[in-house]
Amino acid sequence: MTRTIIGALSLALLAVILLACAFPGLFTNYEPNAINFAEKFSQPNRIHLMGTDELGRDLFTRLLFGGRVTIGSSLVIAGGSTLIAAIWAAVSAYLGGIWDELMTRIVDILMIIPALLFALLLISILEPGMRSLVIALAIVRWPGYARILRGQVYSLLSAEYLVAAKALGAKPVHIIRRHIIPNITMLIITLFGLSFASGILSISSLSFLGFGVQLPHPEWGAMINAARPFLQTRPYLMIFPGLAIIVTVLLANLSLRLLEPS
Amino acid sequence: MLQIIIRKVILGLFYLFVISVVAFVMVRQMPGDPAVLIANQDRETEAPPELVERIRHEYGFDRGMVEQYRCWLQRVIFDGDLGYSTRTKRPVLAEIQSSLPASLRLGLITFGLTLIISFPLGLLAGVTNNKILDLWIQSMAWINYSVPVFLLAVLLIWFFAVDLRLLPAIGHETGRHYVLPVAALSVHLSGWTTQVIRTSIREISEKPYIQFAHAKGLKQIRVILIHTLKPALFPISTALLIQLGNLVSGSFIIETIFAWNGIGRLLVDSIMARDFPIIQGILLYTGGIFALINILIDSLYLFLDPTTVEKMGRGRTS
Repeated sequence: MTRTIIGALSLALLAVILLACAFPGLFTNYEPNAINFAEKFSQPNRIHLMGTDELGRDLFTRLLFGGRVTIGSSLVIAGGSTLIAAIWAAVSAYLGGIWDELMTRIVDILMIIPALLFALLLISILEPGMRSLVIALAIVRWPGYARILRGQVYSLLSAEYLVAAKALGAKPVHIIRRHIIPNITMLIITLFGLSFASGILSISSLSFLGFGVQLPHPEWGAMINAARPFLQTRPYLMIFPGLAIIVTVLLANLSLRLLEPS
Repeated sequence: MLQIIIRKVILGLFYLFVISVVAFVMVRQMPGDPAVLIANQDRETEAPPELVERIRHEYGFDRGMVEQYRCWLQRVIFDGDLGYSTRTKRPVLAEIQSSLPASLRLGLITFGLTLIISFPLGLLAGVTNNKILDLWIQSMAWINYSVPVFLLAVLLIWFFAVDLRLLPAIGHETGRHYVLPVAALSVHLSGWTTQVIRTSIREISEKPYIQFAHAKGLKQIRVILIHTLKPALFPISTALLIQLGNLVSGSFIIETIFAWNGIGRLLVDSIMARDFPIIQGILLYTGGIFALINILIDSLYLFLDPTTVEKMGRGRTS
């Protein structure tokens, strides 16, 4: 019961954040990169909800536009990596035999290269920038999910009720539609959610270190890095983007509780 | 059983070979000519083309990729020689050895602390019948997981190093230098680990045979430690050992923020400078660690559950 309430509430709040970042124009009248020296370093007030930064840019506006980058790219990473993993697992389970063995080994090899370091290497091969960052993170994340999905399909196929269904003469199409897909969908959604949450952490970490978005465009991790010199005097410049990351990751993880079997 | 472990080791070596090929091909896809970069090092003016040509020939960049790889592999296997850094001219092995201890220590201390924090909490949340306690531990774990490492590191530096002047923020010379990086890493990691342990324990403790053990009147402590914890160790150790692998291959985020000369930062610097031999060496090292951990996991399975011998004998571990 508590689980359902927490899950539903988190999902609703997450939806609000996603909407605000998808349509920032509805919530703010400022431009994210508009410089206004007259109003630099305003404390949070009624005109500037979260204050302004060292160039007088409205922090709330930058947070929304930055969220668009952080959340948008995390969604692409999550979608891309789970999609590749699902296709890989399906093909591997379908072909079976030697192909299954070979595809499992390839995943094993990819899994023993540390993810973030592999991503950095990929970024340096592609041209630097946000797009490479997203591609690299999707590429390094999918093998782990493929392994989990493959394992799930494997254990589903040998489950007693499926053996019984086969014995009763159920056709493969029926088994796939009624038993495999519903069972695997939950897992895919869960992986998507986990991947989204860890994507936000990875994207903001790498942007914080300077891989990813180029100045002056806002992104949550890059905003935290930009706020470092003013931490002592203007802590709100770091607190708000920091909270944005923490709250979004937390809500994404808590939303998944809706899916857990009770 | 020994036969199976030997086969795992051979498989691990094969994986390393594949990784070395992938690393070799990948670094050569990077934009920028390494010969030009080497020639222009420590020079005010543009290097003359003859010099670039000579360097290209000296380092073997003008030969075919297969030929280059064959030479590299030959030296690695027969002389244990990974080559020389093109940036510092020191042997790759020496470069890795000088940045390895700090990363290893950071990784192991963080891992130990994470275990100390999350094992009791995860176990407690997993076996308790008290829903409120379970909820509290879980909420704390989720919040810890959601705090990005870099944010916590910046805040810790500001509070303990700048404001209170209690702890050093840069370098890794003394034990005091380890406090802040370890704290920043363990908070995030322990959140994740507590969840993993709790879920695995909970899954087992809801099984019918545990209910039966309780009904039979076995002591609570016995049911928890022997009947619940032992089977739950499988998924827990798999998840944890992979984290350990990630930790000892260098947390380059922490190493960058705290200005450590660790293995993660060495890789980032080498990628920037197109220092091919170092990049290959580090990927080989981290691949080796992970291959070793995989063998450890499999051996642990064999030890904990003898029936896996039969399964692995058929060539399938999952």
